[in-house]
Amino acid sequence: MKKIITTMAVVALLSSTTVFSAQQSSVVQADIDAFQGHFKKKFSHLSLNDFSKGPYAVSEDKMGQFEAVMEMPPFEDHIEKGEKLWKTAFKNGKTYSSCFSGGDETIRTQFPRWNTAESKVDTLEQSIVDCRVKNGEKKISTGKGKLAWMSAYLTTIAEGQTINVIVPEGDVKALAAYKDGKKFFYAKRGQLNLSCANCHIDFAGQRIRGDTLSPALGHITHFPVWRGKWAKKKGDGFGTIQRRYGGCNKQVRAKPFKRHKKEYDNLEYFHTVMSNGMEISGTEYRQ
Amino acid sequence: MRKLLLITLTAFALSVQVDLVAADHAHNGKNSPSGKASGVELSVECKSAISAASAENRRAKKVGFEWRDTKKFIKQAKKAGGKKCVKLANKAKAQALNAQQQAKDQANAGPVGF
Repeated sequence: MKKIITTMAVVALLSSTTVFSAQQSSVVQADIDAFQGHFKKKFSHLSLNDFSKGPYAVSEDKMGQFEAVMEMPPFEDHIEKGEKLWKTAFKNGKTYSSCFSGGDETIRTQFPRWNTAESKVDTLEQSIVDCRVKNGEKKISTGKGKLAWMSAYLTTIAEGQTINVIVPEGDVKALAAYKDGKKFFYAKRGQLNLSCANCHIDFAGQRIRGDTLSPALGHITHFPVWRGKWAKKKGDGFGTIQRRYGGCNKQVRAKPFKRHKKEYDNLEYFHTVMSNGMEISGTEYRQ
Repeated sequence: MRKLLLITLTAFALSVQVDLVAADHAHNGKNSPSGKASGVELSVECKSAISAASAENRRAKKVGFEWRDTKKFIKQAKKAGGKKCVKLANKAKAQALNAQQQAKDQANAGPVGF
Protein backbone atom coordinates (compact mmCIF):
# COMPACT_ATOMS: atom_id res chain seq x y z
CA MET A 1 0.00 0.00 0.00
CA LYS A 2 2.83 2.34 0.95
CA LYS A 3 4.55 1.58 -2.40
CA ILE A 4 1.39 2.32 -4.37
CA ILE A 5 0.93 5.65 -2.61
CA THR A 6 4.59 6.57 -3.23
CA THR A 7 4.32 5.59 -6.92
CA MET A 8 1.12 7.59 -7.34
CA ALA A 9 2.65 10.59 -5.63
CA VAL A 10 5.71 10.44 -7.90
CA VAL A 11 3.52 10.12 -11.01
CA ALA A 12 1.38 13.05 -9.86
CA LEU A 13 4.47 15.13 -9.18
CA LEU A 14 6.00 14.30 -12.57
CA SER A 15 2.81 15.04 -14.47
CA SER A 16 2.40 18.37 -12.69
CA THR A 17 6.02 19.22 -13.56
CA THR A 18 5.32 18.46 -17.22
CA VAL A 19 2.36 20.82 -17.29
CA PHE A 20 4.35 23.33 -15.27
CA SER A 21 7.31 23.22 -17.68
CA ALA A 22 5.11 23.95 -20.69
CA GLN A 23 4.08 27.25 -19.21
CA GLN A 24 5.77 30.48 -20.15
CA SER A 25 8.02 31.91 -17.46
CA SER A 26 6.21 34.76 -15.73
CA VAL A 27 9.38 36.89 -15.92
CA VAL A 28 9.52 36.38 -19.67
CA GLN A 29 5.79 37.05 -20.11
CA ALA A 30 6.22 40.39 -18.32
CA ASP A 31 9.09 41.23 -20.71
CA ILE A 32 6.94 40.32 -23.74
CA ASP A 33 4.09 42.53 -22.52
CA ALA A 34 6.42 45.48 -21.92
CA PHE A 35 8.27 45.00 -25.25
CA GLN A 36 5.14 44.67 -27.36
CA GLY A 37 3.41 47.40 -25.36
CA HIS A 38 6.20 49.83 -26.22
CA PHE A 39 5.75 49.28 -29.96
CA LYS A 40 1.96 49.30 -29.81
CA LYS A 41 2.16 52.67 -28.08
CA LYS A 42 4.84 54.07 -30.38
CA PHE A 43 3.11 52.93 -33.58
CA SER A 44 -0.51 52.95 -32.41
CA HIS A 45 -1.84 52.83 -35.99
CA LEU A 46 -0.31 49.39 -36.58
CA SER A 47 -1.75 46.02 -35.63
CA LEU A 48 0.54 43.38 -34.11
CA ASN A 49 0.95 41.51 -37.41
CA ASP A 50 1.69 44.73 -39.33
CA PHE A 51 5.08 44.75 -37.62
CA SER A 52 6.10 41.72 -39.66
CA LYS A 53 6.59 44.10 -42.60
CA GLY A 54 9.51 45.71 -40.78
CA PRO A 55 10.63 49.10 -42.13
CA TYR A 56 7.90 48.98 -44.78
CA ALA A 57 5.19 49.07 -42.09
CA VAL A 58 6.45 52.43 -40.89
CA SER A 59 7.25 54.05 -44.25
CA GLU A 60 4.72 54.50 -47.06
CA ASP A 61 7.38 55.02 -49.70
CA LYS A 62 9.19 51.88 -48.69
CA MET A 63 5.94 49.91 -48.64
CA GLY A 64 5.39 50.80 -52.31
CA GLN A 65 8.82 49.45 -53.14
CA PHE A 66 8.18 46.29 -51.11
CA GLU A 67 4.81 45.61 -52.75
CA ALA A 68 6.26 46.09 -56.21
CA VAL A 69 8.97 43.49 -55.57
CA MET A 70 6.60 41.07 -53.88
CA GLU A 71 4.25 41.09 -56.90
CA MET A 72 6.77 38.89 -58.68
CA PRO A 73 9.24 37.79 -56.01
CA PRO A 74 12.72 37.30 -57.48
CA PHE A 75 13.39 34.44 -55.05
CA GLU A 76 10.60 31.98 -55.91
CA ASP A 77 12.95 29.68 -57.85
CA HIS A 78 15.12 29.25 -54.79
CA ILE A 79 12.19 28.40 -52.56
CA GLU A 80 11.23 25.71 -55.08
CA LYS A 81 14.81 24.47 -54.97
CA GLY A 82 14.55 24.44 -51.18
CA GLU A 83 11.39 22.35 -51.37
CA LYS A 84 13.07 19.89 -53.73
CA LEU A 85 16.08 19.59 -51.44
CA TRP A 86 13.85 19.16 -48.40
CA LYS A 87 11.87 16.36 -50.03
CA THR A 88 14.88 14.55 -51.53
CA ALA A 89 15.66 11.39 -49.57
CA PHE A 90 19.08 10.81 -48.02
CA LYS A 91 21.18 7.84 -49.15
CA ASN A 92 19.61 5.82 -46.32
CA GLY A 93 16.13 6.50 -47.70
CA LYS A 94 15.01 8.84 -44.93
CA THR A 95 14.04 12.47 -45.46
CA TYR A 96 14.52 15.65 -43.44
CA SER A 97 10.93 15.37 -42.20
CA SER A 98 11.88 12.19 -40.32
CA CYS A 99 13.99 14.29 -37.92
CA PHE A 100 11.10 16.56 -36.93
CA SER A 101 7.77 16.06 -35.28
CA GLY A 102 4.48 17.27 -36.70
CA GLY A 103 3.69 18.32 -40.26
CA ASP A 104 6.27 20.23 -42.30
CA GLU A 105 4.17 23.40 -42.06
CA THR A 106 4.50 23.37 -38.26
CA ILE A 107 8.30 22.98 -38.13
CA ARG A 108 9.17 26.69 -38.47
CA THR A 109 7.21 27.68 -35.37
CA GLN A 110 8.71 24.87 -33.28
CA PHE A 111 12.03 26.76 -33.29
CA PRO A 112 13.99 28.14 -31.56
CA ARG A 113 13.25 25.91 -28.58
CA TRP A 114 14.88 25.01 -25.32
CA ASN A 115 16.62 21.64 -25.33
CA THR A 116 16.36 20.50 -21.71
CA ALA A 117 18.54 17.42 -22.17
CA GLU A 118 21.49 19.38 -23.58
CA SER A 119 20.73 22.64 -21.78
CA LYS A 120 20.93 24.72 -24.92
CA VAL A 121 18.79 26.48 -27.50
CA ASP A 122 18.00 24.51 -30.65
CA THR A 123 17.56 26.53 -33.82
CA LEU A 124 15.87 25.35 -37.00
CA GLU A 125 18.93 25.79 -39.20
CA GLN A 126 21.25 23.91 -36.85
CA SER A 127 18.64 21.15 -36.46
CA ILE A 128 18.55 20.72 -40.26
CA VAL A 129 22.36 20.35 -40.31
CA ASP A 130 22.22 17.91 -37.37
CA CYS A 131 19.57 15.91 -39.25
CA ARG A 132 21.92 15.55 -42.22
CA VAL A 133 24.77 14.38 -40.02
CA LYS A 134 22.50 11.96 -38.15
CA ASN A 135 21.56 10.40 -41.47
CA GLY A 136 25.12 10.01 -42.71
CA GLU A 137 25.23 13.09 -44.94
CA LYS A 138 27.85 15.82 -44.99
CA LYS A 139 27.38 19.09 -43.12
CA ILE A 140 26.38 22.09 -45.19
CA SER A 141 27.27 25.68 -44.50
CA THR A 142 24.85 27.74 -42.49
CA GLY A 143 23.67 31.27 -43.08
CA LYS A 144 23.01 31.08 -46.80
CA GLY A 145 22.85 28.76 -49.79
CA LYS A 146 21.05 25.42 -49.68
CA LEU A 147 20.31 25.58 -45.97
CA ALA A 148 18.71 29.02 -46.32
CA TRP A 149 16.61 27.78 -49.28
CA MET A 150 15.24 24.87 -47.24
CA SER A 151 14.62 27.11 -44.26
CA ALA A 152 12.92 29.64 -46.56
CA TYR A 153 10.69 26.88 -47.90
CA LEU A 154 9.68 25.94 -44.34
CA THR A 155 9.00 29.61 -43.54
CA THR A 156 6.89 29.96 -46.66
CA ILE A 157 4.67 26.96 -45.90
CA ALA A 158 4.37 28.13 -42.27
CA GLU A 159 2.68 31.37 -43.33
CA GLY A 160 -0.11 32.18 -40.89
CA GLN A 161 1.24 29.96 -38.09
CA THR A 162 1.58 31.72 -34.74
CA ILE A 163 4.92 32.10 -32.97
CA ASN A 164 4.83 30.75 -29.44
CA VAL A 165 8.32 30.18 -28.10
CA ILE A 166 8.39 29.03 -24.50
CA VAL A 167 10.94 29.69 -21.79
CA PRO A 168 9.71 27.05 -19.35
CA GLU A 169 8.66 28.36 -15.96
CA GLY A 170 11.01 27.09 -13.28
CA ASP A 171 13.78 26.08 -15.71
CA VAL A 172 16.74 28.07 -14.40
CA LYS A 173 19.04 27.22 -17.32
CA ALA A 174 16.45 28.16 -19.94
CA LEU A 175 15.87 31.47 -18.19
CA ALA A 176 19.62 32.07 -18.03
CA ALA A 177 19.91 31.48 -21.80
CA TYR A 178 17.01 33.85 -22.39
CA LYS A 179 18.60 36.49 -20.15
CA ASP A 180 21.90 36.04 -21.94
CA GLY A 181 20.16 36.73 -25.27
CA LYS A 182 18.36 39.70 -23.73
CA LYS A 183 21.61 41.18 -22.45
CA PHE A 184 23.19 40.74 -25.88
CA PHE A 185 20.29 42.59 -27.45
CA TYR A 186 20.56 45.58 -25.12
CA ALA A 187 24.36 45.75 -24.78
CA LYS A 188 26.20 48.40 -26.76
CA ARG A 189 29.08 46.91 -28.69
CA GLY A 190 31.64 47.69 -31.34
CA GLN A 191 33.51 50.89 -32.07
CA LEU A 192 30.24 52.70 -32.77
CA ASN A 193 29.01 51.77 -29.29
CA LEU A 194 25.53 50.78 -30.46
CA SER A 195 23.23 48.02 -29.30
CA CYS A 196 20.57 46.15 -31.28
CA ALA A 197 18.03 48.03 -29.14
CA ASN A 198 19.48 51.46 -29.97
CA CYS A 199 18.55 51.06 -33.64
CA HIS A 200 15.55 48.76 -33.47
CA ILE A 201 13.78 50.08 -30.36
CA ASP A 202 15.01 53.62 -29.61
CA PHE A 203 15.17 54.81 -33.21
CA ALA A 204 12.78 52.36 -34.90
CA GLY A 205 10.99 54.03 -37.78
CA GLN A 206 13.59 56.78 -38.14
CA ARG A 207 15.96 57.26 -41.03
CA ILE A 208 19.59 56.26 -41.08
CA ARG A 209 20.87 57.82 -44.29
CA GLY A 210 18.68 56.33 -47.03
CA ASP A 211 17.31 53.49 -44.91
CA THR A 212 14.49 53.24 -42.40
CA LEU A 213 15.25 51.41 -39.17
CA SER A 214 12.87 48.50 -38.63
CA PRO A 215 11.12 47.85 -35.31
CA ALA A 216 12.56 44.83 -33.45
CA LEU A 217 9.06 43.47 -33.00
CA GLY A 218 8.34 41.01 -35.81
CA HIS A 219 11.90 40.78 -37.14
CA ILE A 220 11.90 37.01 -37.14
CA THR A 221 8.50 36.46 -38.81
CA HIS A 222 9.94 36.45 -42.31
CA PHE A 223 13.44 34.95 -42.09
CA PRO A 224 15.30 33.73 -44.06
CA VAL A 225 14.91 36.83 -46.22
CA TRP A 226 15.97 37.63 -49.74
CA ARG A 227 17.95 40.87 -49.63
CA GLY A 228 18.77 43.01 -52.61
CA LYS A 229 22.07 43.84 -50.94
CA TRP A 230 23.02 40.18 -50.56
CA ALA A 231 21.97 39.41 -54.13
CA LYS A 232 24.36 42.09 -55.42
CA LYS A 233 27.22 40.43 -53.61
CA LYS A 234 28.45 36.90 -54.18
CA GLY A 235 25.48 34.64 -53.49
CA ASP A 236 21.82 34.29 -54.29
CA GLY A 237 20.43 36.92 -51.91
CA PHE A 238 19.20 34.54 -49.21
CA GLY A 239 20.27 34.75 -45.63
CA THR A 240 19.16 33.43 -42.25
CA ILE A 241 18.53 35.51 -39.14
CA GLN A 242 21.98 34.61 -37.80
CA ARG A 243 23.63 35.81 -40.99
CA ARG A 244 21.84 39.11 -40.38
CA TYR A 245 23.04 39.24 -36.76
CA GLY A 246 26.62 38.95 -38.05
CA GLY A 247 25.99 41.76 -40.55
CA CYS A 248 24.51 44.03 -37.86
CA ASN A 249 27.49 43.42 -35.60
CA LYS A 250 29.89 44.27 -38.40
CA GLN A 251 27.99 47.46 -39.11
CA VAL A 252 28.59 48.73 -35.58
CA ARG A 253 32.23 47.61 -35.99
CA ALA A 254 32.02 44.72 -33.57
CA LYS A 255 33.58 41.38 -34.40
CA PRO A 256 30.71 39.04 -35.34
CA PHE A 257 30.33 35.70 -33.56
CA LYS A 258 30.22 32.34 -35.25
CA ARG A 259 26.75 31.24 -36.32
CA HIS A 260 24.93 28.66 -34.21
CA LYS A 261 27.09 29.11 -31.18
CA LYS A 262 25.74 30.13 -27.77
CA GLU A 263 25.79 33.91 -28.38
CA TYR A 264 23.58 34.08 -31.46
CA ASP A 265 21.43 31.08 -30.46
CA ASN A 266 20.50 32.78 -27.18
CA LEU A 267 19.93 36.07 -28.99
CA GLU A 268 17.61 34.31 -31.45
CA TYR A 269 15.77 32.76 -28.50
CA PHE A 270 15.14 36.15 -26.86
CA HIS A 271 14.45 37.88 -30.16
CA THR A 272 11.84 35.31 -31.19
CA VAL A 273 10.12 35.18 -27.80
CA MET A 274 9.53 38.93 -28.03
CA SER A 275 7.41 38.32 -31.16
CA ASN A 276 5.22 35.66 -29.54
CA GLY A 277 1.64 35.88 -30.78
CA MET A 278 2.65 37.14 -34.23
CA GLU A 279 2.08 35.16 -37.40
CA ILE A 280 4.83 33.91 -39.70
CA SER A 281 4.53 35.99 -42.86
CA GLY A 282 6.60 33.75 -45.15
CA THR A 283 9.92 34.54 -46.75
CA GLU A 284 10.01 38.12 -47.91
CA TYR A 285 12.07 40.71 -49.72
CA ARG A 286 14.22 43.13 -47.79
CA GLN A 287 16.39 45.93 -49.12
CA MET B 1 94.45 38.08 -72.20
CA ARG B 2 91.13 38.75 -73.90
CA LYS B 3 89.64 35.69 -72.20
CA LEU B 4 90.95 36.76 -68.81
CA LEU B 5 89.45 40.22 -69.26
CA LEU B 6 86.10 38.73 -70.27
CA ILE B 7 86.03 36.40 -67.23
CA THR B 8 86.97 39.25 -64.86
CA LEU B 9 84.25 41.50 -66.29
CA THR B 10 81.64 38.73 -66.11
CA ALA B 11 82.57 37.95 -62.50
CA PHE B 12 82.34 41.65 -61.63
CA ALA B 13 78.96 42.04 -63.36
CA LEU B 14 77.56 39.00 -61.58
CA SER B 15 78.75 40.13 -58.16
CA VAL B 16 77.16 43.57 -58.66
CA GLN B 17 73.89 41.93 -59.71
CA VAL B 18 73.90 39.66 -56.64
CA ASP B 19 74.41 42.71 -54.41
CA LEU B 20 71.53 44.55 -56.09
CA VAL B 21 69.17 41.58 -55.75
CA ALA B 22 70.09 41.18 -52.08
CA ALA B 23 69.46 44.87 -51.43
CA ASP B 24 66.13 44.66 -53.24
CA HIS B 25 65.06 41.66 -51.15
CA ALA B 26 66.07 43.42 -47.96
CA HIS B 27 63.93 46.40 -48.95
CA ASN B 28 60.88 44.21 -49.74
CA GLY B 29 61.42 42.22 -46.56
CA LYS B 30 60.26 45.20 -44.51
CA ASN B 31 56.85 44.89 -46.16
CA SER B 32 56.55 41.12 -46.03
CA PRO B 33 53.84 39.79 -43.64
CA SER B 34 56.29 38.17 -41.27
CA GLY B 35 58.97 40.76 -41.66
CA LYS B 36 61.40 37.89 -41.77
CA ALA B 37 61.31 36.84 -45.44
CA SER B 38 64.80 38.16 -46.15
CA GLY B 39 66.10 38.03 -42.62
CA VAL B 40 64.83 41.49 -41.74
CA GLU B 41 63.35 41.31 -38.25
CA LEU B 42 60.72 43.64 -36.79
CA SER B 43 62.18 46.02 -34.26
CA VAL B 44 62.01 45.12 -30.57
CA GLU B 45 59.75 48.11 -29.98
CA CYS B 46 57.42 46.96 -32.76
CA LYS B 47 57.31 43.37 -31.52
CA SER B 48 56.58 44.53 -28.00
CA ALA B 49 53.76 46.83 -29.18
CA ILE B 50 52.23 44.03 -31.25
CA SER B 51 52.48 41.60 -28.37
CA ALA B 52 50.78 44.04 -25.97
CA ALA B 53 47.99 44.77 -28.47
CA SER B 54 47.40 41.05 -29.11
CA ALA B 55 47.23 40.30 -25.39
CA GLU B 56 44.68 43.06 -24.77
CA ASN B 57 42.63 41.97 -27.76
CA ARG B 58 42.53 38.40 -26.44
CA ARG B 59 41.09 39.78 -23.19
CA ALA B 60 38.47 41.75 -25.15
CA LYS B 61 37.55 38.61 -27.09
CA LYS B 62 37.30 36.58 -23.90
CA VAL B 63 34.65 38.93 -22.52
CA GLY B 64 32.79 38.83 -25.86
CA PHE B 65 33.33 42.43 -26.90
CA GLU B 66 36.11 42.28 -29.49
CA TRP B 67 35.91 45.05 -32.06
CA ARG B 68 35.82 44.42 -35.79
CA ASP B 69 39.06 46.08 -36.91
CA THR B 70 41.46 45.45 -34.03
CA LYS B 71 42.99 42.28 -35.50
CA LYS B 72 43.23 44.02 -38.87
CA PHE B 73 45.36 46.77 -37.33
CA ILE B 74 47.64 44.20 -35.70
CA LYS B 75 48.11 42.47 -39.06
CA GLN B 76 48.83 45.80 -40.73
CA ALA B 77 51.37 46.62 -38.01
CA LYS B 78 53.22 43.37 -38.70
CA LYS B 79 53.37 44.22 -42.39
CA ALA B 80 54.34 47.85 -41.96
CA GLY B 81 57.33 47.57 -39.67
CA GLY B 82 59.20 50.63 -38.44
CA LYS B 83 57.47 53.53 -36.75
CA LYS B 84 54.17 52.79 -38.50
CA CYS B 85 54.16 49.38 -36.86
CA VAL B 86 54.23 50.87 -33.36
CA LYS B 87 51.58 53.43 -34.29
CA LEU B 88 49.21 50.77 -35.64
CA ALA B 89 49.84 48.37 -32.77
CA ASN B 90 49.13 51.11 -30.25
CA LYS B 91 45.93 51.94 -32.11
CA ALA B 92 44.90 48.28 -31.86
CA LYS B 93 45.76 48.19 -28.17
CA ALA B 94 43.67 51.30 -27.51
CA GLN B 95 40.73 49.67 -29.29
CA ALA B 96 41.12 46.48 -27.26
CA LEU B 97 41.21 48.43 -23.99
CA ASN B 98 38.11 50.40 -25.01
CA ALA B 99 36.37 47.12 -25.85
CA GLN B 100 37.18 45.75 -22.40
CA GLN B 101 35.83 48.93 -20.80
CA GLN B 102 32.71 48.59 -22.95
CA ALA B 103 32.20 45.06 -21.61
CA LYS B 104 32.36 46.37 -18.05
CA ASP B 105 29.98 49.25 -18.83
CA GLN B 106 27.47 46.89 -20.44
CA ALA B 107 27.54 44.24 -17.73
CA ASN B 108 24.01 45.15 -16.64
CA ALA B 109 22.61 46.16 -20.02
CA GLY B 110 18.83 46.02 -20.25
CA PRO B 111 15.80 47.90 -21.49
CA VAL B 112 15.56 51.59 -20.68
CA GLY B 113 12.24 53.37 -20.41
CA PHE B 114 9.89 50.38 -20.40
